[in-house]
Amino acid sequence: MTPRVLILAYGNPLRSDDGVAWRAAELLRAKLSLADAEIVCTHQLTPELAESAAHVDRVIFIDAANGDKPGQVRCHNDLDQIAGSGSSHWLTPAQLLDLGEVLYGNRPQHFVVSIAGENFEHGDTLSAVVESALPQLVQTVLTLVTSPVCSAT
Amino acid sequence: MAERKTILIDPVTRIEGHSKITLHMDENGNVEDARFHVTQFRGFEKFTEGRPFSEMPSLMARICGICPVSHLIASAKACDALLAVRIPPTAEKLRRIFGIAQVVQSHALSLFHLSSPDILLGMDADPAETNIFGVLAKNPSLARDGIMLRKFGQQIIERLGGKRIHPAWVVPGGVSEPLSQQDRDAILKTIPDALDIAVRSLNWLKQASETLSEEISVFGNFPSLFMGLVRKDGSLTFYDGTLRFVDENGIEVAGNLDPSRYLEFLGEKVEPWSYLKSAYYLPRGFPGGIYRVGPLARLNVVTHCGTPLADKALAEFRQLQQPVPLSSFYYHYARVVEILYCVERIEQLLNDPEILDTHVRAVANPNAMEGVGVAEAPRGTLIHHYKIDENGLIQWVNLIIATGQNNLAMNRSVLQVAKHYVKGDKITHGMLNRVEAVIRAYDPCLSCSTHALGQMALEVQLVNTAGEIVDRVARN
Repeated sequence: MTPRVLILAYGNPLRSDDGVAWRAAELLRAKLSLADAEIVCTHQLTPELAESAAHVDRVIFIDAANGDKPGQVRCHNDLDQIAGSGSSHWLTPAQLLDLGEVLYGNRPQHFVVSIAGENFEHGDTLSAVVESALPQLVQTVLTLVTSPVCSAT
Repeated sequence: MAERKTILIDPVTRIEGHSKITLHMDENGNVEDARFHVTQFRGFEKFTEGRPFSEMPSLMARICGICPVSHLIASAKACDALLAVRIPPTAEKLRRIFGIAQVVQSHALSLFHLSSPDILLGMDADPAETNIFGVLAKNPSLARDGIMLRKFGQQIIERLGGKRIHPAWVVPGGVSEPLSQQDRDAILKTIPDALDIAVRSLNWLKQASETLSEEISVFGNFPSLFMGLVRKDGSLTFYDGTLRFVDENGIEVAGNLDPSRYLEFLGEKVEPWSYLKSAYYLPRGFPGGIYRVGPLARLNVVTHCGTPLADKALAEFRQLQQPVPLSSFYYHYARVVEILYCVERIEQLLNDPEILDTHVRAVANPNAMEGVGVAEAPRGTLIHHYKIDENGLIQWVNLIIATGQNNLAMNRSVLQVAKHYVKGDKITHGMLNRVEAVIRAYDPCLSCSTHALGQMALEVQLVNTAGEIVDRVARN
């Protein structure tokens, strides 16, 4: 049976590379049907997404990252690597899945696909290095949709 | 001689910026004054000067990530006035749905995510637990209901506007796209569950409030004016109508006021200690013209809601205090009544035979040099006022937002709570939480970050006149 997949692409598209997930979502929509995966673009992970996440088999978080070499694509399922404390308006991926598990009784398989950004200043375009790495990010997500295997480090 | 002291709460939180509270103590350790400072400065009125007026709705929506729809609607209405067009009836109905869907999601955020921890877990609860996770541990079905109501409102916004945050669907002259039958039917399917949740939430709130009679008696429980939009028949509206003021006895002070002539009856005062202007009812002067806006005010100015369940709930609401509910704690109650109304009204509007009409935009060039747009945002009456030049470029902007209109009342409420609960040199979490909770009742944007999950960025200092810290409480 085909797993139900939810792709949560989050970030701020007016903060240059922070919007890389939204760009990736555009490309993914061109390659995937709704039967393959539901794709949600959002500025941040809000509590109501816990309900959506708890009703699928696999959640793929796409986000920009910092700290690595710009353009570095990473795929992992260790949510503890993602810093942040959350608030009433937004949650970390781990908190989102925790909330869904407590309220709806399901914790889906999950992966985080990130790309290290170079420029997070005001702007609606990606830096050249992130733009050139975008196809790898998209391919990594496409692989995860059909098979729970990270194709990036 | 005893020293006069000041308690500083800094930061309380943000209004997409920062705010703080200072409590001024007299020589005997009693609170004698309180100030709620908003240190945020956004400058939208200035930096939009010179931009084409048609950009205003999209620019103004960026003021807020929680209620961008209200700014979109008020801004688009101001632009409609510049075009001097009457927008198509279907566009108006779609804008109404859009606006009240946002009211549902915003009220749900305020009640379930921000304030329910105080109500459910108690005002003396550990701040590390007063958040959505604390709620789900104690009452998971309440947390689920909050999430579902938020989702209900946001999905309507997304279906109509294309995205949940900063949708640009509302445009000068109407809306950019008609509603599809598929989307109409999908939204209608979600109505019964949303109504069930709203009714359940009201029952929960009624029961939970029974243990909070002391807080209710001092949470902004004082006479003031109330202002809001009403329809011609006196019923509740978030989109149009005329402005009405009533006093603490529910008696009309002024009615049938043209919102576009707000400068004739609303004044604004700037205080040196805050970027947030204080609005007041001009004929009564400052600060005697103190008035409140938002859910409590709206329910106090209308004759009825106009939908069956909300009207029944309104009748019960009016029994809470006589002659009219004055305590700002009842903002919470009023929010749930409004959620009921909004869900019922959305259903009515979606079943309107014209709702799928594809003529949803009037096109024109500017025909007036000045335009005012007024709508009821979740937090209260919102006014956008623009002037343009002959090329359609913005020359002057004035915005009057709900939080500013409630500023005087919030200050007075903080003072009332502080006088009741703050005594002597020791600061307790329960005391601080009540000072914050009364601000949360108004749901200004600053309530956003007061419930960080176990890491509330809050520091309170008790400082004497020599600048020495007598007591300090930090919540990090």
